[in-house]
Amino acid sequence: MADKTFAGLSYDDVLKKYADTVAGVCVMRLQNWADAEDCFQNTFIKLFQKSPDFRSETHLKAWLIRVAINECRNYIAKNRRFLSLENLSREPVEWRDNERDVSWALMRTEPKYREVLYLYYCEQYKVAEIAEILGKNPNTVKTLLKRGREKLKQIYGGDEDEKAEL
Amino acid sequence: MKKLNFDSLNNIKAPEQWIKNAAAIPELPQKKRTFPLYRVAAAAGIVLVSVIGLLTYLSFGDHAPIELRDNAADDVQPTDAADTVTFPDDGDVLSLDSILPTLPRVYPTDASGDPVIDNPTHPQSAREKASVTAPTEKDGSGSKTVIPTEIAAEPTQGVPSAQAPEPTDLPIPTEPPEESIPIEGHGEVIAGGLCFTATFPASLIEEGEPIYCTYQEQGYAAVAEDQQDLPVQYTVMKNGMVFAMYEPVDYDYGEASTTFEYMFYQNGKVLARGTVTV
Repeated sequence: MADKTFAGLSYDDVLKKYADTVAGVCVMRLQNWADAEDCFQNTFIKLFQKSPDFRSETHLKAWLIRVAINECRNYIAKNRRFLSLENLSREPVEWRDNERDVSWALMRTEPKYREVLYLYYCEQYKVAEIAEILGKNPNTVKTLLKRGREKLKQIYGGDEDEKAEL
Repeated sequence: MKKLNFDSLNNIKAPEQWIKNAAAIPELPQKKRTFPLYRVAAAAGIVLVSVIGLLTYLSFGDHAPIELRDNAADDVQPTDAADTVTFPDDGDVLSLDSILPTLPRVYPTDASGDPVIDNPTHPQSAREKASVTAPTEKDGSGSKTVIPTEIAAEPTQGVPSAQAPEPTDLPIPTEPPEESIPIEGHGEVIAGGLCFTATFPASLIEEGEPIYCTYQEQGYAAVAEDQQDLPVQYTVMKNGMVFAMYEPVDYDYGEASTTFEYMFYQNGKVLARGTVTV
């Protein structure tokens, strides 16, 4: 069945190890659990069907995030005219109380800032890695990070955690 | 001021149902990657057309299928399937119709005894004219002479070749052959003397061989042998026809109407036959 290996990991191991990462990317991007599940499943279907040759687990993780982002973009593009209407009827992402404010603020930022902020703060990627995953210039990623933090601060109205300085 | 703790975003957990569904992906029937059939068909078609074209090209060999020629329309040749061959009358070459009317025909069958010129009711004349004279075809562009294909291809077909003896083996015949001939001669009186004339295709004769004439008065036997030995004067014209003329030597005909039958022949082959009344 699942005899394929990905950077030394079986399919089940990859699924268990990076399911949360892929789910977080999809939820952050789509802001909808149902839509995020479609992209989540599509991401792992592509992993199994294409079976790329990964050099390392880092490469595997970056590949999964990149595919998940692309899946979300394609999903938005395909359902652009229905998205606003469906968002009204679908249940939004539910957060715990201590997560609600930050996540709510992050959701209100523009997607281009949201992706960079999520990858930088949540997935602990460096600027160069984010630039490689998103296919953008590192300086562009730095600019997006800076502006994204400012946007987030305006929305949330609080100080940033200076955990990561650019 | 609130502080943003982005670590809280790491607590996003994928639902268990998502993981179960994703774990079942390898068990799903995988779609086999099939080679598109239309690509196979297109490739096969291209190969087939190329092979056919190559074989066709090779089958021509050194002969080009189409030869470009200037003024190709002027070089149209008659085909075997054509019934008639039509060519324009350019005026330089005399046709049969343009020549024959100049030679008056004299028939002895007039009830009053006077010479009859160009009697169209003469049965022999009508038959022989139909077999010799080329029919003409008129159109809006001008006169065109239509010659039957058989005559155009093999003008000598009118005389059976099997009946023609070898020219080197046969001496001058004492009696000309009696087979029917397609050529009609025209006797006439020139400057008070009797003269036998005829026009026939040059393809009927052999160049260099003499043409002889024999004649007789109607109701009498053939004339003397010595007169048959006299060669006939003939001229090959530009239009491929031969004009032959023979004047009987010292033949004394009386005042009464006399009809002569004569024929021109060469190597036992009759070239022309005619009658003249004087």
